[in-house]
Amino acid sequence: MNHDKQCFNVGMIGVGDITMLHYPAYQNFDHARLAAICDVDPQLLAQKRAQWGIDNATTDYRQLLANPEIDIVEVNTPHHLHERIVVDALQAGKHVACQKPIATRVCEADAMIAAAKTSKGMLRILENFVFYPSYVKAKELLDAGEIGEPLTIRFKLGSSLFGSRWIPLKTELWHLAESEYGRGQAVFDDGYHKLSLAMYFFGEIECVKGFIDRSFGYIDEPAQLIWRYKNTSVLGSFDIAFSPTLFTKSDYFSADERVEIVGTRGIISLTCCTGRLTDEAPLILYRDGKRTMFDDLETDWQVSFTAAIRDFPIAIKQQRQTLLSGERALAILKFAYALTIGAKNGIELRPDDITDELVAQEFSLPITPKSGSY
Amino acid sequence: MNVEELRPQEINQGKPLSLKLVVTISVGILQLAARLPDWLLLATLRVVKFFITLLKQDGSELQMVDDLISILSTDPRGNTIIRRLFLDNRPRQLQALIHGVIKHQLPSSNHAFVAIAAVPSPRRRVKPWLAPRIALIGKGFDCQKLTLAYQQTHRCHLTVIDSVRELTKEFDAWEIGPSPQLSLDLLEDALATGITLSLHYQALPDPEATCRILELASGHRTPLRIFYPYLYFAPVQRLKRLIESDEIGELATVRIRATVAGKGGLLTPEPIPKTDYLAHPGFDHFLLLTYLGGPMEQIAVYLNPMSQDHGGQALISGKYAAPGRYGLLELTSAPHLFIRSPYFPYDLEAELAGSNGIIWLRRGMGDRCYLAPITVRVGKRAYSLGVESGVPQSWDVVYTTAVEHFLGILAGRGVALINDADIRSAAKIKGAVMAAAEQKSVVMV
Repeated sequence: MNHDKQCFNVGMIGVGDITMLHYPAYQNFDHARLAAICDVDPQLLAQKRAQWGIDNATTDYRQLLANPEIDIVEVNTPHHLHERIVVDALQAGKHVACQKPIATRVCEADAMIAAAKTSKGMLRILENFVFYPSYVKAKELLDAGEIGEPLTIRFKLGSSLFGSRWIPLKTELWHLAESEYGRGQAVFDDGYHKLSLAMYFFGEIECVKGFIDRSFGYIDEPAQLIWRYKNTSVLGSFDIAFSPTLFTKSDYFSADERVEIVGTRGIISLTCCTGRLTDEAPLILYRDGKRTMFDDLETDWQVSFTAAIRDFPIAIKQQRQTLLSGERALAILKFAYALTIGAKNGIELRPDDITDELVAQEFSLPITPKSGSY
Repeated sequence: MNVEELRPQEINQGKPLSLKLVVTISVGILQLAARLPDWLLLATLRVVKFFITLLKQDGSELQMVDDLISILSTDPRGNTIIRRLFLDNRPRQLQALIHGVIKHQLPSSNHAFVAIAAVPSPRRRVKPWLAPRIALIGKGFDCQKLTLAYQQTHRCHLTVIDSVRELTKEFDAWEIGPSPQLSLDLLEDALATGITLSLHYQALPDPEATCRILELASGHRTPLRIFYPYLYFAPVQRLKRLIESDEIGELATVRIRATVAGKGGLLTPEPIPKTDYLAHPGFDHFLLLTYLGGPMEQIAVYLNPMSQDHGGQALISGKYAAPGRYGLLELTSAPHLFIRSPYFPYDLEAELAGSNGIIWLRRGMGDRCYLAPITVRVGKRAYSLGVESGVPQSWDVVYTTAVEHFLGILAGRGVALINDADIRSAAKIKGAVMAAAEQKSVVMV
């Protein structure tokens, strides 16, 4: 594998809805270009081929992997298909960027991590929140001690039905169906971003407790979750409210996302990400009786995807790991399951204790993975 | 936040008159009055003053009428000027002024208490022309402020006492603050003999004592008022009103963050015990948790030691009895944080989310920033409630309001601001937190 290559060729496996946010990252970008696409849906494939002007298109991912010109592979398929494709790609010597979550089972994630260790290629799990400008800035402020010793971190998700573009019903139904397997949209799927941030700011999780309700049978909201960290005394919380008729303007998903970090000297407030509920500055630092509004931070959610995607080829050239590593992504997966299972049973759980057997037992799943349609 | 118009007030409760008609009639009356001979106009104003005095004992309306009477009777030039103000103008100007007064400035019922339940009339009814005799015992900041508020009202005889031996049945009411001398027997005896009690929320040692005293008060049908400052804080009352009126739909989450800061107040923060800190006034907001969301059924807790010098934190999360409702009380000690405050640098913020919107409460005793105390985001609207709507934000008003409330109870026109179930639940949650922190599971309360 040539890490010194000027411009990497990227093959995208899975060109569904989310890839509308991936494509712009490759425009006017010297370090990588989108060279090939793949999807099992020939109609969708043809549409993207025409829209993006990509001639190299196939419905069989193996063909894409067999192309020696392809250096980096993006895996944007349904979650239960991640393992097979990622492992195959790594074994083919490709660098792999896989959309979050890493997988739906611990064994699948383990297999992907193991494959990365023996591959010439690098594995990263694409989670864009850790590249969102105000969150990156907040991390800088934290590390610089701007608010003193951190005490608590709070995440808020308020989801709404109004204010964003139309989300295809098929996408929504898929999310709702996943909730039956402990992979609810709020805590597990979209929640993955918040949990990733929780670990981005303060590291590994020791234990979790809390409550998750169910609205309209399938939606894992409202919820109130709390946790301890392993290596810091910071306590974390995540509250989720379903506010369906609260208009939340967004070009993507109508979600009110806030983070508040209280420290011994100050408070950092992060007021938006995917959606905009208010007109406040995206980051507000309160310290010594003064509020500093960081109005110069870009708030468009697209920016985080672009930053995340572009960092990978640069990281390859620099031979460094970019976020998320496979290990971190697995830790987040366990964190999500610990919250879901713990809340279901009213008990405290440690993410380290999450196993596939436990998950399968809780959600009446077969332990052996089911075969995918890819 | 964008401030939008508050909803226009109803003119009356009966058949709604059109605003235009009311304005026209009002302008006609004012212009007619401006043409009346002096003696008739003065007589009319004196009648108006009589009715205002009956309804309110003070206020700017009374002062305005007094000023008018004075000018009309003693200042011929002033007399002329005032009359001409109503007669020599563009009709549209006067109509616009009256329209604005009616639409935007009439007294609103929103400043009244949110009454949760009726309070039984005191068994010892104080005659209206007599001032009730109240004994006050207890230590602490709240007791000092209540003492001052009682003394300033001039409508009661307050006796501050040091020893429970002096709490005699000669008093019509007892105002009980935190005091190590208190016993449940003493309080029971008082209730049995019809003494109206006001009890500080931290006066009782444990949940059992709290539940017992509530039962006793109910059994003896004697009014018992629980004093908790935030029940009398106008922004919290407005918050409660918004919840009760379903402004944000079905309430789903209640999050309260309470921080004891180290700087910014005129008073030094009260000492925080390292482990048993839940009773610290900067942290003891279990009543607010239940006042806003109702009784809780289960809690899950993480507690860390708190230190005045190094900080600390605690999270108390819970499931309310109301379906689909959850709460969080987040406590932090931030020794180097600056919170501007007229008294202690105690910061309190709350966020309530419902099916239609969110309400933020931005301050408590401390003022972290000059944002309006309440901001609402509902549907496609956003508005704030603060200085523009006359929401009193001074912490001193808490105590004058509390005194007015208790005097109202003593006069037989009392309302309960919080129900017994919420009080019991708050006491039980507080009592269960330490044990819950040790549990590897959620705990029933």
